[in-house]
Amino acid sequence: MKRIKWEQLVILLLAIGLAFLSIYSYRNDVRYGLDLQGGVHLVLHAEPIEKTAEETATEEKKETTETTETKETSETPATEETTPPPTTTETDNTVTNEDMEALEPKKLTVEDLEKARSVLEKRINSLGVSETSISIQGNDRLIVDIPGFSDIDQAKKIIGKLAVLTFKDEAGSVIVDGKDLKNASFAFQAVKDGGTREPVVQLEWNAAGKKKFADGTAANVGKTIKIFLDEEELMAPTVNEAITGGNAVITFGGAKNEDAIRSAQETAALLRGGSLPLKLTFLEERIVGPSLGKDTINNTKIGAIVAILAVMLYMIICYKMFGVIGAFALLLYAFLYLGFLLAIRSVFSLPAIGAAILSIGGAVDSNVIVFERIKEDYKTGRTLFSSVSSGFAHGWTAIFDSNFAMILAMIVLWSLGTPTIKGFAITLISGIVAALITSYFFTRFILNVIAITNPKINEKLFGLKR
Amino acid sequence: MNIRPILEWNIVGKSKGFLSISGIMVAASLLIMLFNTFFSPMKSPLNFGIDFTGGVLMNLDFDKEVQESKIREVLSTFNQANATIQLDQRNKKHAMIRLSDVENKDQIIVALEKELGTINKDTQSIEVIGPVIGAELRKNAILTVTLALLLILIYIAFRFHWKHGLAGILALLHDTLIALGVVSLFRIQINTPAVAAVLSIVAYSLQDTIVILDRLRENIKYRKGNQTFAQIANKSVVESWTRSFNTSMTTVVGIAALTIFAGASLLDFCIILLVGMLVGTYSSIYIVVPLLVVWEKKEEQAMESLIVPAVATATGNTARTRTFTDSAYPSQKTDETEKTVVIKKKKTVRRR
Repeated sequence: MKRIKWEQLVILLLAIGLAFLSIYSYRNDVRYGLDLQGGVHLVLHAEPIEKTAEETATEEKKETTETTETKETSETPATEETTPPPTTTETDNTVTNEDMEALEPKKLTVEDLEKARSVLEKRINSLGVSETSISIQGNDRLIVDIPGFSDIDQAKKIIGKLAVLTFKDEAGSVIVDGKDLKNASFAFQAVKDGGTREPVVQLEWNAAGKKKFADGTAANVGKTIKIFLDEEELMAPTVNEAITGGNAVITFGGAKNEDAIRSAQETAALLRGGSLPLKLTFLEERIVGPSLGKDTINNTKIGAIVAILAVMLYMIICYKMFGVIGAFALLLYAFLYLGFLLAIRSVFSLPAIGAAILSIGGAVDSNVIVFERIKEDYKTGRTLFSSVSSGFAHGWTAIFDSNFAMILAMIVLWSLGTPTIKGFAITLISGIVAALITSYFFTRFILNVIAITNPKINEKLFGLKR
Repeated sequence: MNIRPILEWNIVGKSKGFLSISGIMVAASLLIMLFNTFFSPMKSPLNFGIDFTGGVLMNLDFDKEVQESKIREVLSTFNQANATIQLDQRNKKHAMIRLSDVENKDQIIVALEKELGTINKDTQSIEVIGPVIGAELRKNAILTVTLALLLILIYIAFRFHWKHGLAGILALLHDTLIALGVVSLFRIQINTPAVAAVLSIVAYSLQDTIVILDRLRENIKYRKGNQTFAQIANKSVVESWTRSFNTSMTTVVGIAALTIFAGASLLDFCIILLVGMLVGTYSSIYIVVPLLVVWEKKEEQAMESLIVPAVATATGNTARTRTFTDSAYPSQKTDETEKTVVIKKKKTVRRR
């Protein structure tokens, strides 16, 4: 049917709007790979430190006496609105454990890795760096990326050392340290004068710790005990009473308060981490000086702009007016692509740049295929409108098949590859999608409009022949 | 771009010639790799970087000019006599050192600083890859590429025909082997970015191959009764030629611009891409279709057995009365007939 397909334009404008929004909101927050930005990249292997048989036995006994609780408890409505300062009280029997503790002592669990991650995060942030990313890979690896940081020795030192957890009194003398802390867990505890529950951190001491903690709390009733992880003060709960039973809880205030729940969970993880049962070894270290990549980033930007301009010129020389449409399509593609990459928070690294070049080729190709078909069909004596319609219909099967096969191959790479290869695959898939959108909604729309509004086309201008 | 002469080319007629050229190129690539395995200091077909072998790679900028002999002296005290040392010819303060042993990297850096001068921390790069990671990457790279190729084979078999799939895969292998041959010849280091470049070649060649297969599929569908498979194949190749050439040229222009401006850090990467793209374009025109033609002749069967069932399943639309390739008889079309054709075509596209 000879009609201008405005719906294609609407979809196109929508895509442009989204791309603009994405570029606008992330313009100052482009993520570069360490190869371009400089920084420290570490791959750590975690393995559990074997526990003594006695420890394992007591732990298992403990688990059987505890009941696990569903997460629904966190939605329990609360009456308290204010958040009193943290206090330490003697534990009572209504405490239930929400954590699923490691069952097999020799096997690494997801929680062990999560623990390790939160501890490492805390430690690395103490270096005064931002945007550190720590991710868990597989079931025994942690990948640490510290962009813009160059002192690998300091980074390794801080990561490799065992965290020291200490409990100090107000004068600063050590009451007890993390060695004697058997476990710390997040739980909900019933508030005594009401039916509601509040988030708490449960502390469990071994025999030595029990004694030291009892003495320390007895001497400091009404005062605070400061808890330090390495040099950093985590919190300073007030001692309500002498705690002699070896079990203590730290309360965080109102149960409804999401912040209280979160900080209780975090504290529990950190306290546990103080006695982190993991041995970390370095599998891979990469350090790139921060000024090494700066030139590369700038040069690559210039290179990309020149590449696009050169390709546009080539298109215009080869395909005349069609080439002009193709050149605009390429600009639009570059814009959509950039918006897309920023929106999915893709990391710009060398392999990703390779993928981007490749997808420029794909974007050009989808236009070249269509233009060639239109020229061919026009030659057979069809009208321009007819040539455009059939040229697009024919060209599209080739475009679809070739790009779909590529996406399939990239999905395989994405699912099996290392982070770099994953980045490559994702960048390429995004490029293909951007190219398909441009070709399907922009090129097709414009060609259709031209064919309808210009029944007597200037053949020379479009490089058409009969 | 003058299309006429291209359309009269007889590419398929010279199938055996093109296949021989490719055979020679692949054989040469394999020979280069064999030579490097046995007669070069690399002792391996390709110059695998530390990403694959494990080890230490340091790029250090000292505050004064350094000599290779001095660095080697320092390294020998740490029992690292077989380390590779490369000095930058233009900037003699820069040294690249590769060690196979991860152990005493830190002490070596301290010793180097003591003997040769302070190292600029802002421009240094140090990479340490444990042997576990290297072995894993080797295994993963092979597994991933094999799986991807298998999936492509299945996809082409499903959308076209298994013979097309096989020809396509052979072309991909051909491209990869020749690109690796060039990599081996220039002893370009194979690290993760180089793997990405090789994957790009595979992807590019695949795209190019499928575009031509699509043309072949279409031309077979709308063929005239007396055309042989070889004729149709040649028609498909020459019709796609301009498109293949222009697409390759635009991509080459893009890569060239990037190589010139982005400089040394992307050079190796771009060389692999460039070689692979040219070979990939060549193979989809001069290898895939000629391979199919050679096969066809051996089987002595009508092309019906090769193509028609696949096309029928692929399009599900055999009840078409008019052909698009009827170029000898340009007809006077009304808008009405045009409409039906276009709508039909659209449906076909959607169903795919």
